[in-house]
Amino acid sequence: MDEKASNEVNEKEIICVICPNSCRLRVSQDPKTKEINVEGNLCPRGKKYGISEYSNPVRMLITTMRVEKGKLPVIPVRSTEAIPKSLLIEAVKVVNDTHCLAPIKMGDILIDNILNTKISVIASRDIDVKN
Amino acid sequence: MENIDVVIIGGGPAGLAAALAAHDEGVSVAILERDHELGGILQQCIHNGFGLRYFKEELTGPEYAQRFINKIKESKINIFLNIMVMQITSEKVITTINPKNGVVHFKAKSIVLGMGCRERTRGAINIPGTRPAGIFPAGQAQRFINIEGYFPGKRVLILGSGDIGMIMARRCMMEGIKVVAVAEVLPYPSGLKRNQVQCLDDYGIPLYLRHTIIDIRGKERVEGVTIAGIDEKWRPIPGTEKTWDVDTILFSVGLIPENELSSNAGCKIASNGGPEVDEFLQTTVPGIFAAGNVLQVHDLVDFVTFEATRAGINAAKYAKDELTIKKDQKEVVYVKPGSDVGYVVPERICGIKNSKEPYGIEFSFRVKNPRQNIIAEIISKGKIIFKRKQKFVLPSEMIHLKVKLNPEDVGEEITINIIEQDSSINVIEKEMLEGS
Ligand SMILES: Cc1cc2nc3c(=O)[nH]c(=O)nc-3n(C[C@H](O)[C@H](O)[C@H](O)COP(=O)(O)OP(=O)(O)OC[C@H]3O[C@@H](n4cnc5c(N)ncnc54)[C@H](O)[C@@H]3O)c2cc1C
Ligand code: SF4
Repeated sequence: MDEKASNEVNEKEIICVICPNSCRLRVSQDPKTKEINVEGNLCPRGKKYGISEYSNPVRMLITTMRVEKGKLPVIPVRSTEAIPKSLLIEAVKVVNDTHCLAPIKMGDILIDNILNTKISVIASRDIDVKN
Repeated sequence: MENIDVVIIGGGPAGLAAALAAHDEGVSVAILERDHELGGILQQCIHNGFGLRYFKEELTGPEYAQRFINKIKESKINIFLNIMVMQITSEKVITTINPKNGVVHFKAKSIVLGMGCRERTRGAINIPGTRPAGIFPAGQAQRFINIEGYFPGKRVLILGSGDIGMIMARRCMMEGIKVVAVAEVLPYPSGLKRNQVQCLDDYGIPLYLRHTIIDIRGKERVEGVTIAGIDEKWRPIPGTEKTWDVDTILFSVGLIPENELSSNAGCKIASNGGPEVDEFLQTTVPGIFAAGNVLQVHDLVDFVTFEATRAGINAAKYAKDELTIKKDQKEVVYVKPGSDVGYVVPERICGIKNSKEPYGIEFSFRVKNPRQNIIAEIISKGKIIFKRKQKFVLPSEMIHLKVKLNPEDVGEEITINIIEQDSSINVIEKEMLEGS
């Protein structure tokens, strides 16, 4: 990409959410060394957060999935790890297109390797069969 | 009439933790829950952010609840579901109603109140005229989507930037429901920064601070909404109006403890809406204890669990006649919220005057305003008897102070203040002068 080739420093402002200080981080990448530089953090945790938010922001996938024959019509689900932020909306669509069958136990894997991320989507609770 | 040592009202996280703790003390325990399942509000809080303190890992609300429910199911605790508690008397007779058996009474030796809180509704949206359909408290909408699996709208405006409102904004976007904006009357977001970043900024949802709703269009159903900026006296500023077509308005304007049952039982209700309690979390009615959101609205469920565990142990001790301070509440020390403190729990301390050693107490309270570089101090008899520095305090984050106080240092009342770090000496000197 052109951006990579250019010598301009790509600065982004990111608010650190690790603690209530809410430091305003200025994060940039050195075009030559590719090193990511964080300023404005009051502690090392902010640096780590700034680098990860800059290079590969990730979020937990949290939504609900339709349940067949369940006591409730939907079950809350989550990804086992945070997935790339850019895949979030697509991943929600995959979950919406998937149905599962009661009974379900907390931790049951409902979707394996979602969008080839090697991350699974699991049940957040038990759902019994409707009687 | 069923006789049970400790009866827990409500099967949310407070009720579950209190039940387990009381059960571990070897008494008989029953949980009375009006819903068809245990877990309380956690079942609809499907996002993560629960359990970091208690389980040392980040869980979703339902996962946090499930862990406790599994433990309860393994225990001998009696679970009653679909049962609504109608009345509690100071003699600890509990009147309930359920669709199968009608009215059923329970007699308890002690009770733990764990009814949680409800969403503020009255005065949330103060507009003249009739109210069209499509206006909901955010928590109710959260239940619709996350438990019942449907949502009655396509385009939404949210009033109030509390955590529930912001979390619902993200949830709507994920479900393909457009959130046009969040409006907040305060000059700062009332929920956590983390939620502002991850729920609004991530999805490009604008947050209008110092704004309120001035008009809602639509007869049968909401069709549109107009917000405007407000001045210091909360009057709309002409020229700042913004209008959207929406079919739904959600409001998230705070929670209040649910205390009809408590006040009918004779419990004195404190200024924050929860029952007044002592350091054992015992209300003004001996043998009735309270924990969780019914006592004070918590932001972290982990602290609900810690609080309710204490209430459960004390309720069991009361039932076994082992709670040392039972009726003798003569030598009470009252706790007052001082400068910039909204309320304090507990409001009174019963055991310290008769204690021969430094006396351990856990206070929890909220500040009125966001502030930096402060000192939280405890004052009695005109002297500072405890102080702790803190870098940041926010109204949205409850403060916990675990202290040991010397009985000799304590007079008839103690005050908790939040003061500026640099001006601290002057304030203290002034107060000491005024006190003498
Ligand atoms: C939207 C939202 C988001 C939150 N997000 C977080 C978060 O990210 N992290 C975190 O740690 N905490 C969070 N919390 C806070 C946490 O969930 C609450 O503090 C906690 O659930 C309170 O527990 P409780 O048992 O006191 O009340 P509840 O969970 O409300 O339980 C009360 C129970 O009592 C029952 N009940 C009431 N009246 C009666 C009656 N008369 N008879 C029988 N039963 C009755 C109710 O049905 C309910 O089951 C959030 C809360 C909300 C509302
Ligand atoms: S950089 Fe450190 S101090 Fe600043 S918000 Fe992040 S965690 Fe808190």
